Amino acid sequence: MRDIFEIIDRPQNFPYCPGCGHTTIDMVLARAIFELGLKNEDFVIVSDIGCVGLVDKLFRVHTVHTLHGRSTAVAAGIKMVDEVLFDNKLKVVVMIGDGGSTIGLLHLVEAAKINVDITVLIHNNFLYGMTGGQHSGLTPKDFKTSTTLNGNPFEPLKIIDILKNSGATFYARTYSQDPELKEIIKEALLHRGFAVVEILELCTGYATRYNEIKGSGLKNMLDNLGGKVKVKEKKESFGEIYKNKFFDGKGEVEFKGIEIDKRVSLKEPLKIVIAGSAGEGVQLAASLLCYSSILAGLNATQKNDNPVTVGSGFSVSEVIISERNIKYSGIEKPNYLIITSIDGFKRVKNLLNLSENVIIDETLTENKSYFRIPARRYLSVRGGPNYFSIGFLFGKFSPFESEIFEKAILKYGKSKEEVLKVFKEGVSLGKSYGVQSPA
Amino acid sequence: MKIFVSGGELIAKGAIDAGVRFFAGYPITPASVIYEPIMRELPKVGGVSVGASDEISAISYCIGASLMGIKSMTATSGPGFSLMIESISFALMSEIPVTIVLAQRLGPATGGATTNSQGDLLFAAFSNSGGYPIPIVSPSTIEESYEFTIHAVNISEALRTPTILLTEKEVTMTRKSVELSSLRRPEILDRKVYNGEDEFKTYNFVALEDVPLFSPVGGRYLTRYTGSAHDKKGDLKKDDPEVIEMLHHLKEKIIKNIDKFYFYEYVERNPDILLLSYGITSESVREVSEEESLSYLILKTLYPLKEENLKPIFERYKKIVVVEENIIGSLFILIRHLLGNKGYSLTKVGSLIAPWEIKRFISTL
Repeated sequence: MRDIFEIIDRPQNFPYCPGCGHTTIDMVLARAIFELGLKNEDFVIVSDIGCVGLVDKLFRVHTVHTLHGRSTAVAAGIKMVDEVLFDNKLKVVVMIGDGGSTIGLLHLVEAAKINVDITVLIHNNFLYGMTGGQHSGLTPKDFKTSTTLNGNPFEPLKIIDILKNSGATFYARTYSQDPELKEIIKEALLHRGFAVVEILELCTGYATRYNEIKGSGLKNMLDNLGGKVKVKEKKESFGEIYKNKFFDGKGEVEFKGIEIDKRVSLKEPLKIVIAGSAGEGVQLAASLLCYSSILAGLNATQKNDNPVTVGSGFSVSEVIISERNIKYSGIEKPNYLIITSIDGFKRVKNLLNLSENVIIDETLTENKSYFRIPARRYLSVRGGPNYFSIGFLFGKFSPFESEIFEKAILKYGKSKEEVLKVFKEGVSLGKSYGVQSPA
Repeated sequence: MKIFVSGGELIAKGAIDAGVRFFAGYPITPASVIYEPIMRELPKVGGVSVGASDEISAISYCIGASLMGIKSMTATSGPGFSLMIESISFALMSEIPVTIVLAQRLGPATGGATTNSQGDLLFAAFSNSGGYPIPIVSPSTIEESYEFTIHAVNISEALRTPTILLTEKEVTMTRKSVELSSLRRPEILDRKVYNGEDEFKTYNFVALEDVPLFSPVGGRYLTRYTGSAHDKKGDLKKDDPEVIEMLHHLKEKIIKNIDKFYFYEYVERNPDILLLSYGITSESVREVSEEESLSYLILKTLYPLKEENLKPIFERYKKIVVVEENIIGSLFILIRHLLGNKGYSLTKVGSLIAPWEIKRFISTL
């Protein structure tokens, strides 16, 4: 490891080709760091892949040599923690080339968007130098590379324009020989928030081999991209936003326990499948069934099945209630199959013959061996058909006292009063069929 | 005191109790049930939780946070894990602790988001370029998802390695009544940090299996982390004996130290048949074992496996039935060489393997 000042003005200490723009930029960065007068330990250089990634050995600061394109995201993670959890003193510098900028474009866009306090130096030498001088996303139109020997037919990405429009609060575009480069880099390092500097430079290995160009041509290429730019804006950084909006650092995370209300006994586990339509409160009703079971001192599992669009199609909940610990949570042969809509009906059709008791909305079947009940008449209450059907189950089969389910509604339900009314009507109807103890 | 929770909520709670203070994620079923509570709860305990623009960003943020010395975690499913594997290789090579929850769903590709599956064991075990071991632990019940999240974070911190908590939809998304006091809380382990006076080397070790002492980026010792081939200092090198030693170290560090984190559950009942399983399928195996009085072995550390532990158990049985919910028999493939002609593979895709299906399979043997 060398001290920073050892590499200033000593191109012979660099691993790059003679005349390479990387050497210039690194030396300017070293001088900028030196002039800022901060401790070496307060700098982190996060480097990308390509020749630009050879920078680690040159600087006597913390270094992280990452994957291609990911340098910005790793740097963002470092700085998120430094801003929110530590003392926000780290200067995090990302050294990235034109390849990393396009592979990791979304990381740059995101870092700009959230204004995380990092400084990105984009080394734009218009091609991929390490792998043989191939064209990149930032290769100018008509520029020759090993893969565009007749000249690149496409316009380059204007990376600074992209990041400006992504919310970057410091953005600059210049070239490696700009006498002001050091001051721009210093300003970027001191900027509180996302800072990006695109620096045009020449790859002496390939760019000058295929193109009639010298360092002095960089100024023209800069003009073709829209000229030199340096803009600074003030906006809250990621850490400031996070601390204001999210972070309250109080309290420990605790689960809300459920106190057992009354211990009831159950000889055999109860297996209940509720099948209805998404958006009609199947899963909440099923969870109240579980809460009531826990209030009754029993164990419960709830396994849900629904299409990925949670608001349309079927919604099925499988509930097992048991005195013993429940292991396998699937149900092949339900004791009770509750069907409250046509979506649910279609989904669980194959269970009809396997279920001991089928409680089903009367509009869905003519089959007299099922308990056909007017569940969908209660559609005006959210989850109504399900609560009515569960009420029916409690009234007719009395797995345990229906009052325990009522307590679950009051403790854990929504639209409690309306739901309670629907549930009680279901219980009455169930009782009118003649109370029967569970199978 | 009972709670009614999903495995996903228990994983979030386990992570926080394990000391995780940074989480980044991108929502994906069935891992979203972890993402939501941890996004909500982590800031309350003085942590940072962020949504990322994709899974690559999520794990990269975690790696950055871990470089600062903060315990970090992300959670995803198969498609998101696919995007993360390059960065998992990076964390492995640069010895950065990070915990990845892989909540499996039906694959391949986007597959079935809300359908359970156990198809990602081999994918996870061999997910890095180069073929180096990454520890994988897997809860075999909903309750254990709390305990094993802590184990996963412990392993990643103690061994300075990415670690995978392999679980599945029916663990993360199924809700269950759980006795709060029954949750097992392993001792919390922290990574060991360097505090000496000599020159700090980011990757220093004496014996190959030693875990190098950590120092954070921004700390008083200058650090040099890298995903490229390197020596103990972290200098990029290729043709150097120290680099080759370093590569052996990456293997030995995991293989030799996994002993401390080698978890399984072995119940001896019947001397003829052994049921072997992992993850949520274990619950069906336990039911069958109780009803039919069969022996079973549930593996909870899934990778690397310890053959010297498995062999003597396997030797006691005439038939060994590996029960798992995937198409190819992933665990079966992993241990086939230990089974001789005694091994049978029971697989299924599309839904949980029910106890009666195991019974039916055994009756045909």
